[in-house]
Amino acid sequence: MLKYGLTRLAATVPLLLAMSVLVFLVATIMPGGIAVVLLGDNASPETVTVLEAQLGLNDPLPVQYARWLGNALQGNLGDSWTLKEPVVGVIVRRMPVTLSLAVGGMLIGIILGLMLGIIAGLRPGSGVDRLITLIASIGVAMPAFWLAMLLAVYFAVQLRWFPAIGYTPLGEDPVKWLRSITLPCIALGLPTAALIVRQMRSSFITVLQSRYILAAHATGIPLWQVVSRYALRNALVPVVTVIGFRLAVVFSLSLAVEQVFNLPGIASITIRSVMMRDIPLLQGTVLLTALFVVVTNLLIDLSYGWLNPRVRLA
Amino acid sequence: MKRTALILVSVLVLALMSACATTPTPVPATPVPATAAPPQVSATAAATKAASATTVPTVPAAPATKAPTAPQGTLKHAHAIAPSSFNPHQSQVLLMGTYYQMVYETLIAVGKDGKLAPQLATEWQITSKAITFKLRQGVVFHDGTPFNAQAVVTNLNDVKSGTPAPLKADLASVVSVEALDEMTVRLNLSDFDPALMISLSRFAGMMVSPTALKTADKIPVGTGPWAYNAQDSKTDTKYVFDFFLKYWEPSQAGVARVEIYPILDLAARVNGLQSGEVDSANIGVLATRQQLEAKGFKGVAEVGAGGFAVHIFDRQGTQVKALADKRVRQALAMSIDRVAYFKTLGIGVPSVQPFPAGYTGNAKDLMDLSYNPTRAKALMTEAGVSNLELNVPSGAAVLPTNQALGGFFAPLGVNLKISTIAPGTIAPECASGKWAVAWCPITEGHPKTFVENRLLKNGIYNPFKVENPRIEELYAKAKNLPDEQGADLWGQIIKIAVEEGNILFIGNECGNCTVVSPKVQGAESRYGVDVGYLVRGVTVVK
Repeated sequence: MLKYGLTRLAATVPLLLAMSVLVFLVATIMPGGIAVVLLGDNASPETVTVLEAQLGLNDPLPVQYARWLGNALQGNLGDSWTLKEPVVGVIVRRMPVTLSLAVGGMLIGIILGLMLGIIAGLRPGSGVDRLITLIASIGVAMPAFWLAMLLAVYFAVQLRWFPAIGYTPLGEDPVKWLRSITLPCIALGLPTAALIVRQMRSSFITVLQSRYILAAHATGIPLWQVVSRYALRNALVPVVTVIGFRLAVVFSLSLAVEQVFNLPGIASITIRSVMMRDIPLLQGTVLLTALFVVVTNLLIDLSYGWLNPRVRLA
Repeated sequence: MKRTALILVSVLVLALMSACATTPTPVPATPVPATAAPPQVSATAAATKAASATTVPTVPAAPATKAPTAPQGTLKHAHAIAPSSFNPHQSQVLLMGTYYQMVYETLIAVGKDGKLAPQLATEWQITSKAITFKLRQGVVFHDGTPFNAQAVVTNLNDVKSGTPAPLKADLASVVSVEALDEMTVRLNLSDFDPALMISLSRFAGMMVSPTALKTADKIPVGTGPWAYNAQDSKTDTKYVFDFFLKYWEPSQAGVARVEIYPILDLAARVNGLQSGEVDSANIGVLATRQQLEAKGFKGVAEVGAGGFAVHIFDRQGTQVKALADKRVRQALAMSIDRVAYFKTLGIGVPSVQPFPAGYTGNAKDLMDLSYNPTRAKALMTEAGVSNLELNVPSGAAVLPTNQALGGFFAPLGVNLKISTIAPGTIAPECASGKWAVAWCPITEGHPKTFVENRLLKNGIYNPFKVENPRIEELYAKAKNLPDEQGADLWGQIIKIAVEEGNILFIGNECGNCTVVSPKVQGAESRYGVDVGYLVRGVTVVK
């Protein structure tokens, strides 16, 4: 198991390297340039040249990339051109916000999705099942950013139950923190729940029709014990795959949700770095996102072994 | 099963706990608002009402009549951009003016009447070779550094020689700056430059504490009514400015604290305003502004420091032959329904010329170029042009305007093809020489720089190098005259440019449009002042 994990981890290195080259190329060929952003629309060509030289943009691309990579390998992702501070510091400062959203959104999605999926799967074809399936279908079709906007307008602007903008750190005020992330987490969690409901329902129905479940029933074991002891664990294997993929998706969906609620997370700083052509910041945040997705997938792969020993043996 | 569930729950709980860690707030060394009582300053103000190429006596201004009141309350503003640099000498970004106006002050200001007014300089004398400023007594920077002639010397030298010095051209006529005594400073000029005083009322004239210049990029220290509070600010999220107790004119500050939240998303700014979490917000979309006004909010900054205009670069017909005919250009000007544009799309005041009445550069007795589709069609027929294709560059932000222009031009048989360009690249595209026609930004505050950039043969926004001998001749006469003597000449140049269809102006649009909540009182904008709406004097009622 350890060998398997290490092999998978080693395989991510070339992937991250390829990703960094791609991000670097995309960022450097973006039209516009940092000089216009920093100096304004009417900056003279002479001033632009001076600034570009200051930022090392006159060097050939391979030299710029090698310099960035050399520093990145030592944990230095450079300084943000617009924020004038180390990229690592910016990411560390903003990480709690994005993690709050991702974890909160996933918690809502997983709890709601598993519960409703099991309820629907227990009585397939019943009225409850059809209602849950209908709601789940609507949830899947609903974009997170649109849901976020609806929630903001109704619960923040009209009812004023939650703040429409901004984030309060947990250490500063736990109640305000909870209020500041509730709507964004719901916006991220509901579409996630919808996906998990559908997967859980389908997986659960299949497992409940298995012979070993029927046998367990036949021996007179109560339904709740059959579900919790035998059915749930096996039904979870495909659901975990969905959860793993979804975690990466939630991370990217927070791009839009952070914007709607003006939350100072990784996603909003990534958008800012694109808009302002802040290449070091863009490279840092994209690299981090790629790393997050890769590690998540690795953890999901490893979790199969825990859930289903047959996968481990294979 | 239990173990699996336990592991899953533990991982989720751990992740949540790590996510909930407090966001660290950077606490850099910073000037803290002073606690001493404000000094009562009774400086004699003076304004330049007249100037000549030789010696100009100063005219004392009337003393302030507003009774000083203690600033109170907090103004929360949602701004469309995050600060890229707090050093005003290193930026030409118009929207940064909102941040700068909290902390910094200029040597001279622009008054309500559009005339120059005293600020850190109380009086000045202008000759053809020098401007001498008498500085305001008793002014201190937020870090306690006294404001004096040496501070002005350091600042203006920073504008001229800093790196990369984007505002260097604004002080091109300043050969050297010298402190004559503690509170008198002289700018030695190569030639008198009428645009220089306007430049000194904008970013180039903002005074940064000499001891804080090196760190001004991140921590602004000026003489303004509010001092930057680094402890309460959070980089890129919230910028806090507290009333500076040693400010020389406390009555100018209506509120005790200003908080600026950079919010890039328009919908989020609107939500913040409507939910009462902010008191004012940058709203540059007319439809949104109108919706907010219908709900009791108030739009300010109708007239900005510049705007956009259709530039007809190819006036010699190099790329598009028909544009060499003045009648075609005039027809295009007459096909624009400016009133309809500002009712449906733009925020501003319709006008066929860039400088409003009463301002230097305003042209008198202009031919009627207002919306007249019949006359426009007749001019096209006279010119023998029935079908014309014009290719224009457009970023997403100005796409609706270009589409509207396409609609205005269509009845003339003009097909406006819109080519998408990257955001933030419109100015370089306008200067590139690739486009015969383009909708380009205008930011000049004085007709001299406007003419130099856009109408002279070597102007940066005259990429086809079209020469108009009459404009060159008038420019040569006006370029070294004070406004009182040169205004008529500048008006004549603008008249030629507008009537010949060099630049098709639509109106004075705001570049930093703001909507305020009903709680905000006294919010106003001023033409030529590139800070958005003026926070000085604004009060927030509970």
